[in-house]
Amino acid sequence: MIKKIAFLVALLPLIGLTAPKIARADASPKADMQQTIDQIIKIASALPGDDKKIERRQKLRELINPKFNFNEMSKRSLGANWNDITPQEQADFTHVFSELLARTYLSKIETVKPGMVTVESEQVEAPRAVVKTTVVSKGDTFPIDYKLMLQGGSWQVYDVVIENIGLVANYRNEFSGIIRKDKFSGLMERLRKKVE
Amino acid sequence: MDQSKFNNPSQSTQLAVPKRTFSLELVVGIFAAAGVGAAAYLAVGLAGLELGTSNSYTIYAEFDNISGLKYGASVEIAGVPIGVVSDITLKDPAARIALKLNKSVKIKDDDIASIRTKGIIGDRYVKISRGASDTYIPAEGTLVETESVVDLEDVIGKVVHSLTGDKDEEKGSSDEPSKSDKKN
Repeated sequence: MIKKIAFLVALLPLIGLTAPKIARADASPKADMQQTIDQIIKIASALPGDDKKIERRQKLRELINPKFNFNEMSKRSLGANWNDITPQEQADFTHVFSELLARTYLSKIETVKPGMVTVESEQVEAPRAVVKTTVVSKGDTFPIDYKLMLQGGSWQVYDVVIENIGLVANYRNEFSGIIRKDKFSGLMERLRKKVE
Repeated sequence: MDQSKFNNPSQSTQLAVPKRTFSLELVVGIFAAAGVGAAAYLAVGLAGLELGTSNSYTIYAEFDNISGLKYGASVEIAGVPIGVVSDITLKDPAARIALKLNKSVKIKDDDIASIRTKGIIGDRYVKISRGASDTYIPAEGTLVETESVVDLEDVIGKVVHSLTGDKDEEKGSSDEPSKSDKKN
């Protein structure tokens, strides 16, 4: 009897740990997005200036990484070419491509100020969702839509659409052109050069 | 019988004529029927309807903006036509279009449909770029990944405004009259 109770007590923390994960699957992607933006602003304002750049970007990356599905983004960006390369090449590409994305967008993300980004609406058709936001910069508003998919109980971004131009579609076009000319190895070479 | 009665007043000299008229009428009749048939075929063809078994299937796609896309616009992969836009409806606030595609071309669920322009001022068409998924969209299914029309005027407008900073000045000038109104 005592053993049983002890066993149940031992289980309690596990339940406590898994409960938030289950709850997050129900959490609306809109609320999730708003929370992430608030956290970005918090980090960016807590660590201002060039001397804290490395620390700031490290923290932003830790925050943003789980919010993006880099594997899906890589697969979609390569499009039909994804199936023509080996699993090892797929892994290499995913690594380099997510590095490139992170580098390109962290410099933009860290300039976000309070009131700059408004989360407008969400359309949820599980397991997919679209969250529409608008960004105000220099007096102009730009629509930025995030396409998300439900992955392991949380919403992850797999495409970003700015002014109706999709990131995945854009890269898919560019990459397929490079692969046709220089093969996959040529594309990897170019990406590595950009990341280094 | 009725016909011969009717022809009676034309006397016996023209007795041989009815026979010839009959065959002539037959030819004219066949010719007219063929004409009507051809016109019907043309009408059906022009209307885009298909009779009998078709070698195409239809899928749907939703866009935020399809401005300028017309019924019958072509659907292309790598510039090769694989189908046409067969219906455009409003699914408020989005646009829903039907794509009638060649049966030999299957669409994957991560293929992206974008509305593009041929040349700078050319017609709009639907471009499909190929994905890597193993899941195909069945007939009457919906393609989720879409890219709307890029409004060039909008984008140019934004670039122009961000260069000249006109917007803030406009706001300032529009505010002034209202202030003076209040004073009065």
